[in-house]
Amino acid sequence: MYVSLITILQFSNTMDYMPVVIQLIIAFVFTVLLFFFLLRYHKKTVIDNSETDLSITENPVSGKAEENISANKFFMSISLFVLFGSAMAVFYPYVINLRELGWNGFWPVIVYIVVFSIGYIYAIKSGILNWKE
Amino acid sequence: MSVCYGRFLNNSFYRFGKLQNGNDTMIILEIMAFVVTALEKVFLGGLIIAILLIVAFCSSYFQNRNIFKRNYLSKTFVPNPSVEKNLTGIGRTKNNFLIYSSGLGWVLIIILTVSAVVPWGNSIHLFGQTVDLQMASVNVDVLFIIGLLSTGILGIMTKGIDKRSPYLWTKVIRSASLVVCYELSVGFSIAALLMVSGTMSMKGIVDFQKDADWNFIYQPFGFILFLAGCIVILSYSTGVLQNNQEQHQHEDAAKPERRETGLSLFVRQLVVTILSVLTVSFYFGGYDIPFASDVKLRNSIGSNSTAIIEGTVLLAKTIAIIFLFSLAGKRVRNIKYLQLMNFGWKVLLPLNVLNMVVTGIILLIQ
Repeated sequence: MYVSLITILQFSNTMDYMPVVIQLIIAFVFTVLLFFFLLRYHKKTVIDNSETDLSITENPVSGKAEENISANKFFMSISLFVLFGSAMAVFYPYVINLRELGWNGFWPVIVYIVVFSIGYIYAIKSGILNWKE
Repeated sequence: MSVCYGRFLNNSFYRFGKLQNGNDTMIILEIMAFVVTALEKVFLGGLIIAILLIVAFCSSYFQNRNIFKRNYLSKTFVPNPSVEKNLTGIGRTKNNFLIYSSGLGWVLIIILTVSAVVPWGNSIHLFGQTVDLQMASVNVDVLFIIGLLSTGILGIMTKGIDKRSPYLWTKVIRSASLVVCYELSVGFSIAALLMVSGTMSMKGIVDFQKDADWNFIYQPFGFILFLAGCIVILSYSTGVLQNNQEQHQHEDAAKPERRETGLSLFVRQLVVTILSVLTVSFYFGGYDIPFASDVKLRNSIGSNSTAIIEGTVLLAKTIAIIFLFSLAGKRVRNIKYLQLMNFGWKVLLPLNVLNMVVTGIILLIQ
């Protein structure tokens, strides 16, 4: 079935985003110009970097500048974030309609919070945040 | 026909007063209205960006007095010989300059884009037309802001990639995972705020708080949680995990406090500025003039003068919050990483959920 662009636009507020796009273009142009301006001296000059020199020396204990860290912990941390991030996103529609839904809408949300709290407590108890291992 | 352009164009049709049946002259008028509205938005956007940049420059000046010196901002992009010699590891094998610089650029772009949905004052009248001081109202302003700002994490993660980066890749990744955790907390505290105001439009949230009926009064605990999350995010927003790494404590003790320099400092101050504006709009009434009724003021001295006062008031409130953020940031940078991580996951997040539930119960009882 063919749906014309005008039909889609009729039932949406796509044009509300027009100023956002305009602002995005202005911001993009500004950023590119700023970067070109800053990179004029990129290869020509030597700049005193004493202030920028941040703590990049070898660790006398391990003898390395960069420590090996457990990749597992990152994956765990990120999956925890995915769990609660989606939980947070679910709350937003409910939060807006809190007064209309009343107590009938409140108890299912409490059940939902209890369910993901169980997951949260399990994750914390299993040592997900224990980075020193 | 005109319906299909949505609210953006309809506003401009009402300006010309010819929203009737479609005919040939109507099409020309439509195009004219589109061009005029777009030009107005471009001008307004430029003005907003200019104000933001000026405030960010001034606040960077108070962080580091060298900001106006020549070549200072380009320090970020200049290869650092001592760094290149000492560092090997992930992301440092070759020159990934494009990725390294695009991270900062992306943060700059999203910060300036977010400023479009912030209301900077009520409408003004120019040349017989009404101009809203909010560039765009997209119906889900708050979601738009959260979604856009959470991609700022890319700006942190790309910072450790290039050869010339003074930051370690592992440090950068760890600070990114910390920021993710605190973003979650801030999201929950905003959810509790939305319960009170009942709308996602920024204009609606600000209008809800007019005449000193600020959300801060209804959400004092939520505000403290929001502030705590924001302060940690700001301290780590451009990938800095400096003093609090346990493996580098031996040298941290010897050196004085290290500071960000160059463009990263400026971008961080820009993030501070926009987050302060958002804090003011969420909790302190936005452009609402304290100790005065906006409607009465508009009737007595006219809407244009009132809009200027409102903008000034918003700026003054923003500068106060910027000072708060910069004072607190220095302290946060001295806290150890693991302490912050534990605090974020084990204390701040449960407190935020609890705050949300209690707010819901109180609102439903009333």
